[in-house]
Amino acid sequence: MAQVVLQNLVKQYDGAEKPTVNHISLTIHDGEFLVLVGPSGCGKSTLLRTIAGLESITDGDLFIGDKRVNDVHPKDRDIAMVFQSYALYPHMTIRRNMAFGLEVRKKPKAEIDKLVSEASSMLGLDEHLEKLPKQLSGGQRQRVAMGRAIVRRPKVFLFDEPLSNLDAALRTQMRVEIRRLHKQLKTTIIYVTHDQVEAMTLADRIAVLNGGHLQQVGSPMELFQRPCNKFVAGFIGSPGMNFIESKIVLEDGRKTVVIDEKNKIALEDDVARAVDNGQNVLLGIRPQDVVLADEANPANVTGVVDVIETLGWESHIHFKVGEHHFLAVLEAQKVVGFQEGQSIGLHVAPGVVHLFNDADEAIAHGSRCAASASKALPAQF
Amino acid sequence: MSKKPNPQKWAEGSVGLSKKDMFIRQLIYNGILIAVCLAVLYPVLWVVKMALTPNAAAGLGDSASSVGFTLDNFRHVIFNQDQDGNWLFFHQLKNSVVVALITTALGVMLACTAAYGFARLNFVGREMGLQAFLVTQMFPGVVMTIPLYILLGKLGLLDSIMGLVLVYSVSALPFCVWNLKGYFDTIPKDLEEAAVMDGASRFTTFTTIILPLARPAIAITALFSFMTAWNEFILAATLMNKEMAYTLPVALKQYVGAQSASYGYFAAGAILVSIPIMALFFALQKHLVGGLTAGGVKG
Repeated sequence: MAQVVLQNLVKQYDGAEKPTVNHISLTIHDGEFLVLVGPSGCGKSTLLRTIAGLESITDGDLFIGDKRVNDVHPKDRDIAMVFQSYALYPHMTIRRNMAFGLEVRKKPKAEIDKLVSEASSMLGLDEHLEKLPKQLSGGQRQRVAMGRAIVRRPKVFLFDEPLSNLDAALRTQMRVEIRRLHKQLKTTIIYVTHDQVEAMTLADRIAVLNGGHLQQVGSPMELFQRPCNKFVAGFIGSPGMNFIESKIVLEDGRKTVVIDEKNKIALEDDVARAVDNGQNVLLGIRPQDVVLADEANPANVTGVVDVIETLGWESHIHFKVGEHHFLAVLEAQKVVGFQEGQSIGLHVAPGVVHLFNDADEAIAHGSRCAASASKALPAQF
Repeated sequence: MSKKPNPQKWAEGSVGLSKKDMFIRQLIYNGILIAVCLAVLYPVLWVVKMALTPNAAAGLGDSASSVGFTLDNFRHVIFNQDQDGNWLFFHQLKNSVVVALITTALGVMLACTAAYGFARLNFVGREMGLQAFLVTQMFPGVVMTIPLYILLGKLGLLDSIMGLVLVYSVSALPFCVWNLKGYFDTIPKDLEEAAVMDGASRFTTFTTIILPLARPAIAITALFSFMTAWNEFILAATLMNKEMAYTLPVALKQYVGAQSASYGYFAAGAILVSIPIMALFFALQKHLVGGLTAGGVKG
């Protein structure tokens, strides 16, 4: 086990106009499960491959444990990687696939057998050891790929979108298995995914990337509750946050965020102190933070029902709030009888409001962004 | 009730045809195929007929059907001796086998390593090198005959098996490299990267991961190299001047000269020369299968 330290890491491909990975500084602690998350093309897989040694480092430093490994060959970094495509050797049995890394390291046969046997028991692969990869299902192949990594007992595991080729049910099952595996092995894991649900459920900490820049690093709940900018706010959470162009207006002596004449949310004092009267802001509201108005919670937003999506225990109600699209996740039983075109009173508590300035940075509630986030490309969400 | 369309019929383009129309269509298709097969096989049957006909040496008939049966032509070709009592067929067969086997081994070895380099490594001149290989294929082999004769003469390799092997290996190389490179390109890079992460060196990855997966392409390359060396006539006839140094195609030519033509011997010899190629093809057939990389990566 070891910590991994990235110091101002840059990766720029020959002929590329700008770096794919741009000045990323990050410490992954010993035994930590860190998830790198971001949209396609954000540089997360390149960053992982750079840590693996499959890509050279253009600038900056990479440490695994106490050792600077910029120029160390992948095989000498003592790390194992699980590929998105499984990358199993098709002509070798599952046993040989798992043993290959130990064989090339000239481990004694007895030790190889013991390690393969332990890993296969842990992953439920005992009965498949003499089969070829093509005889296994997708989930089993992914388990073999993990087994191949486990048998080597490396300092760090790297996972490159390992579940993206699996169907939804299997992905959920494998997610639990990976989490369980981490609890058992307590090895440092760096896990790349574009699926924010995977990131939220697996990670000790999440690092959000966009355009090659690190946006924010924090625990899943920190990123969910206190996103540092519009990009993180939009990327983390499913369904995504509602964003509405609004204005700060002083009403009855209290700063209020105004969508239009009918829809106004009074701000909490600490947020109110951070904004100016007349300031244009981007209002962010998570769909889960919206409740139906009642006596205790008077309506401060009125929406016209556009589309209703029923998911069983909850419903996604797409409203029109003035000119804006506005999504609310509401308990299914409470929205029985809602009709398209019907006007509904909604309540948004002042405490759940997110505000972003002209530079898309969070006002008041947000955590601090990573150092390089401000240099990022315009947010895509 | 509306009739349900039959997907298979759609695929075959026979939707809406009656049974009788379909039968006629099948008859026409099969008739054409049988005619093509006969046109292809007719010269082969003719050669077989000449080889097995007693008086075939007297001249060429215009029919592929045999008018008698004898194995004398084969006996003559196989047991023919020169003035010193040397068993010519044995020596010529040995020459052909040695030349073809060494050419195949050398060709496959050179082609595999070169093709892997072109497929996976980035180096200056990579594109130009590949194109240069193609350019060499644009000239007919005969153009190279005189330069090669002079070169081998200066190296003292005329009438030598090694000289012929060198020439054949090099001349088959461009095709072999292109063929193998094309196949290496289809092997997912993830497999190599997985091997690198497992701790394998480039050489170990090449020998334990890439080569086993490239078996079908290597089999084709080996077959091509073997056939190039086994069947080649012009260079062998130019570079080999002693009867004992001849390969079988050159020896065959002796039976059909300007003054006389022993077509029976020629046909028998041609059949004997073809047998090893057919045997090799059947031996390699099991390797000429696709799907070796199935299951390795999600695709």
